[in-house]
Order: sequence, then C-alpha cells, then structure tokens
Amino acid sequence: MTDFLAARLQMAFSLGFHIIFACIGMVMPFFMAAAHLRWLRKGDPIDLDLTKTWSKGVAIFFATGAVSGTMLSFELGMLWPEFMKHAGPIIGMPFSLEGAAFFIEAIALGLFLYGWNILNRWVHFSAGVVVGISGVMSGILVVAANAWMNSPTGFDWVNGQAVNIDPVAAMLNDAWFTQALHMTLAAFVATGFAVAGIHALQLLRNPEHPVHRRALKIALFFGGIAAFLQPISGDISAKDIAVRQPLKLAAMEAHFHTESGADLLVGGIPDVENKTVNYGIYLPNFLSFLAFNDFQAEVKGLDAFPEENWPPVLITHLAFQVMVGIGVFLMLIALMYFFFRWKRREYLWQRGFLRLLVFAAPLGFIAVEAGWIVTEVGRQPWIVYGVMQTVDALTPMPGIVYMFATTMILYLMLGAIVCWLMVRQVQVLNARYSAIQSNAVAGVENV
Amino acid sequence: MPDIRQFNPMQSRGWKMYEWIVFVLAVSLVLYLIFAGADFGAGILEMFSNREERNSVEALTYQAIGPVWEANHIWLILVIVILFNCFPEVYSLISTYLHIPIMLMLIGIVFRGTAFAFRHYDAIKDRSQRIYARTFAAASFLTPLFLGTVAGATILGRITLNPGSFPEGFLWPWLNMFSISVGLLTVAICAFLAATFLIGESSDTPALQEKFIRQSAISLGITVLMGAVVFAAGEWQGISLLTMFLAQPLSLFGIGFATAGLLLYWHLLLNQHWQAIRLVAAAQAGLILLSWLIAQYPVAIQLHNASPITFHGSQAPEQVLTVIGYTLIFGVLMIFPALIYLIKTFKFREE
Repeated sequence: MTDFLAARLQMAFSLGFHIIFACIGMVMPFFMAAAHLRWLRKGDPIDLDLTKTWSKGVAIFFATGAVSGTMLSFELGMLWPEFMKHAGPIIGMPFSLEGAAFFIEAIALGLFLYGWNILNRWVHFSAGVVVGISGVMSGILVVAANAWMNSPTGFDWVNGQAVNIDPVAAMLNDAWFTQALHMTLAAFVATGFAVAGIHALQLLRNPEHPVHRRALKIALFFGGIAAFLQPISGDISAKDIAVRQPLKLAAMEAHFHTESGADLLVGGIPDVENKTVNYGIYLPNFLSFLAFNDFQAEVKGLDAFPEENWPPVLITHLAFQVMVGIGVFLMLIALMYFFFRWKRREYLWQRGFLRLLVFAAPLGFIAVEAGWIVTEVGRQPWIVYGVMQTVDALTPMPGIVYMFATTMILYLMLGAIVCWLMVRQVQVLNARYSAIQSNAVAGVENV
Repeated sequence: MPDIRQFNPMQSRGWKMYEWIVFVLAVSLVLYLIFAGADFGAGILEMFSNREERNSVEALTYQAIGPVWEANHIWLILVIVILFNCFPEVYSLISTYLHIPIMLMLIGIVFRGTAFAFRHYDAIKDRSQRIYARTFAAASFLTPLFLGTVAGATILGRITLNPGSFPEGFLWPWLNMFSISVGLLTVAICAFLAATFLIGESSDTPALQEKFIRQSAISLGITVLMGAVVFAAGEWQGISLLTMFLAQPLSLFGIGFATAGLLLYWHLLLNQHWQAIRLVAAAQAGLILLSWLIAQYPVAIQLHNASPITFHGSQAPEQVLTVIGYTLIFGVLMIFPALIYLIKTFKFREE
C-alpha cells in the first residue's frame, strides 16, 4: 500500500469513526433533556430513569468522541502537513470558535452528570440543554472548515502561497450553510433512528417495558422531524453543488455527457472506461429539474472536465445512491410514525413496526458515512478544491500504513467495547424493571 | 468605507495581537500541565498503589476529578488550535517530524480518556473494572511521558529537514536521552501535582492521606532529581539549558521561586495546610514550565540543519492574528466564568 493511500484511508477511517460519536454526542443530550423536562414537570419516575440511563450513554459517547476528536486535530497535521501549513491560518476562525464551544460543552456535561442533587433543578436541566446546544455549535463550526475545502474563499493563491487572507470570509464560505444544515439534520436522523431501533429491539423482547416505550417515542420524535426536513436540505445542497462543484454533481450522478434536459439516474453501475452506466433507471429530465429547477437546463457532464481531475466516479455515485435511498426510506418510516401517533396509537407497538425500526437502526449512520464519502471522495483529487491537490499535502514520513493499521485496530477495539457497554446498560435497565415487576406481583399476592 | 477588520484598537495602544496570542498559548500550556497533569498523576499514583489501596485510591480519584475531567483536557485542543492557526509552520513541522511520539501520546490519550469513562459508566461492575483500571494507569504514565518527549525534542535541535534516512528524520529527533528525560520529568511533575492535590481530598481516611503525603514527598524528590538529569542530559547532548536559563533573568527568577517554594511546601506539609499546599505545588509546576518557555522564547523549534523556527518568524499574517486574537478574547470570556462555576460547584462545596 502506498503512503498516500494509507494516509487517505487513515483519515477516512478516523473521520468515519469520530463522526458517529460526534453525532450521538451532540444529539443525545437533546433526547436526555426532553426526558428530563418531562420528569421535572410531571414527576414520572420513568422519565427520571430514562434520563439517567441515557446520560450514562452520553458520558461514554462523549468521552470516545472527545478523544477521537483530539486525535483528528493532530492527524490533520501528521498526515497532511502541507495542507495545514497553508489552510491552518485561513480556516482558523471556525476551529478556534469550535474549541470554545467544545470547552463549554465539556463544562456543561460535568455540571449535568455530577450535578444531581447539588445544583438547583432548573440550573441542572439547563446544563443538559447547554451540552446539546454547544455540541451542535461545534458540529456546525467544524463543518465550516470542511465546507471551505469544497468552496475555498477568503484568500488569494499566488505562487503556491496564500495571501490577503480574510478568515471571516473563509468561514462564511458558500458551502457552509448547505453543508451544516445537511449534517446537523443527518445527526438527528441517524441518532434518532439508532436509538429508536435499540429500544424497539428491547420492546420486541419485553413489550410492556415503560422506559423503552418512552425512549422510543422521544427518539423517533426528533429523528422523524429531521428525516422529514432532510430531503429539503438535500435539494438545497444539490442545487448548490450544481453551481459550485458541477464536477462533483456529475460524479454523484455518473453523468458522463453534458446535455440539456438531463435524466436523473437511479441506481446503476458506472463503467468509467466506456463512459456509460449499466443497469441504471432513468427519470427523464429530472436531473436538470433538481439541479436548476428547469427541466430543459443544461447539466455539465464529466466530459466537460479533464479526466485527470475526475473523482472516483464509481465510489462517489454508489455512496450517493446509498445516502439518498436510505434518506427516502427513513422519511417513509417517519411518516408512518407520525401517522400512527396521530390516528393509530396501538400500531406503534405492533411487532411488525418494531421490527422495521430494528432494521432501520444502523441505516442512518450508514447514510451519514455515505454522505461523507460523497463529499470527500467527490472532491478528489483536490484537498482544497481547485487550489491544492491531496497528493501534494502528504507528509514525507514513510510507513504510514503502520499508523493506519494501528489506528484501525485501536478504533475497532474501541467501537466493539462501546457496543458491549451499551448492551450492558440495557441489560441492567431490563433487570431492574423485571425486579420491580416481580416485586409488584409478590406484593399483590401478599395482600 | 474602511474595512472594520483593519481597525485594531489594541495595536493603536502599542499592544499587538501577537503578544496576546503567545500569552494565551503559554497560559493554556501551563493550565494544561497543572489540570491535566494532576489527572495524569492520579493515574500514575494508581499504578504505584498496592492492591488493597487501589480501590480507595480509585474512588477518591473519581470523586476528585470526575466533574472537571473532560474540561481539563481541552487546554490541549486550545494549544493545538492556536498553533495551527497562528504558527502553522511550527504545527506542521512538529507533526511531521515528531509523528511517532505524537502518535504514541495520542494512543495514550485515547486509552486514558475512554478507560476512565468506561470504568465509571459501565453498568455492571465486574472483572472488566480491573482491565479499565490497568489501562487507565498505564496510559496515564505513557501520555505525559510522550508529551514531555515531544516538548524536549522541539528544543533539542535534532530535527532535520529533508532527512537522509528514516531514523535520522523520524527517530533520532526524539529517541534520545534528553527528550526522554524531559518526558520522565513531566511524569514526575504530574505525580507530584496529583499526590499534593489528593492529600486534601483524603482527610476522611487517615491511612490514605498518609500514603499521599509519602507519595508527594517521593514524587517531589524524583522531580528534583529528574530536573537535574534533564540539565545533565542537555549538556551531554549539545543543548546547554544552563546557558539558556542564565541568559534570561525571568527564567532564573522563575526557577529560583520554584526552588524556594520547596521550603514553603515542606512547611505547609508539616503544618497540614492542605488547601495552601495545592496552590504552592501548582505554582511550582507552572513556574517551571513558564521559566522553560521564557528561556526558549522566541525559538519554537530548534533545527539540526537550518536556523531555528521562531514564533515571530512563523506567525500567520496580521489579519489572521487579529481575528484569532479577538476570537480568543471571546472564548476566554465564555470559558473562564463557566469553568470557575464548575470548579466552585464541585470543589468548594463544603466550605
């Protein structure tokens, strides 16, 4: 394996790992706060139990997200020193603001986790909300830095040096809003469905369990709303990319030839050598419509760009199909959920629906990963779009493959342990309730 | 219309953002050493506890550092962010040529952070607790060791641009007596901070308190010893710390105060002033690091085959420093009140 490939894989793997924990770390606090608010207002012990159980999950995910994020802040330089040397000052502003937001998040988490019975109950509740808000803030700010790589602004590139740097303009780049919106919603969708799936699995085994029922409703409420909004955000992103990065859109759609009234490709396996797509289904003129709101608009194909600048078309296209497919599927589940809540409450706890939720549990995160593949692989061969190629940013250190292997083993191990810890959390929660139930039964018999 | 970002009131008063940023960088490093150092130290002390004591040490550690745990480690992120925003060349050179010790340090950080959280949030307390505890203790030792090694390597001057071979480029800059002894000095300082800090926390259990008093004396001795070793290794390997310190009156004062602090420390230890002694220990650790930074300033990295990289020579353009400087002011105004509230809530509850 070349150092270049190893470095790219290590970066992809590190980001792919971190993003899961970052999403959960920024969304779960809102679920936790929702349960907490119910407890404060109605005093139902089920809500208190759920808040405490979830808060332990948040602590575990936050710790893992914090260390993998620390690792990333070093890896950027360890793998891509040339990139960081030039880009560091330009995209410094969102990173330093992110540092501040992350700091506030850590402080608020400390207050929340250890503040039971110490803090005033509303101060304590607010601390939990602050964890979520500052988490979302840091996510949005980090995305600003990534958006700048797609839409580099705020500097002039003269003889391989950045001059006239304007960090504020760099932060407020064109891609920021669409990317941040899409990512924030994605975090809510992915976490909502993952959490709902886990609790649905428990309900299949233990249908009456009140904590799991409450948990499922809260998680699907947040995840469902986000799943509804996500296609709108996706449409905004597509229209943005069509103008700003037409090459990326062409790769996402495996759109080889420039044409007016371009068809939308669904599925299909691109054959880059022959510049065709096999097994695809086409919706006539829809690509033009989705990209430009005009069924006859011209959509640039890959052929409009020199072939050496093409991103890997197959990976970008397939990842895009996976993301969109899952997005639509989850939106349909959300539709079912809100319909059931509105008209057919009893259907919520039907085994069929619960099984569907279990099936959907990992899909949101698969879509998140696929989305990052689209945006990152779709930008290749550039690390800063149109300015610096990824290969030119590489560290001179040889043997990166060993670093990649180390990172991979470390993270796989960590991922496995976190899953195992979650299983144990659920086990204890279930055991506690069956004890309460049998006590209740015993109590009745004694009377 | 003049661009509002061109206007810099600090500059017009003869102040420059550059000094402010270097100041925040130094303060962040000092706070990281003191707060995260005490955290690392708690793990190191666990490593040197026997089996009977370990559980009570663990419980105490958790109680003492749990709430501030995550916040203590974010100083490092602040340091890194300042480096790559404002001194990008420093950041990219360090992360290129000290890739391996940084990677080892990161592995330590990952194991430590997760093992600590897993140990306390695992729903079932069984044999896995021992694995978390051992991982936590070992990683608590390794992280500051490599952190110190990296710090030593930046100043030793064995980093070679465009190296001829792998060892020359990526091993010898840090795999040497001097850098490793700076690493061990860091470990000793961490243990010293933790032991001192935990004396006051363990007032309810006299046996444990005895142990921390003993450990603080031992780690203090090792710190002084390692300090001497660092100076000796430096002289031997071609960097005269003595000359560097003698050339900087402020550094000499700093080291002088830190040494004089030993007497005060001893006095407070004998008279059982457990709150005051913490401040003295923190001040000593902070003074050692500050003196070092002042002695080294303005050099950020000593190179083997080129003139040193300085902070002012590698600073980002004025425009960037202005924006980051203001961002840091905003950040400090946000963070400090929150941090003080956090510490007040959990640390000074009884008083």
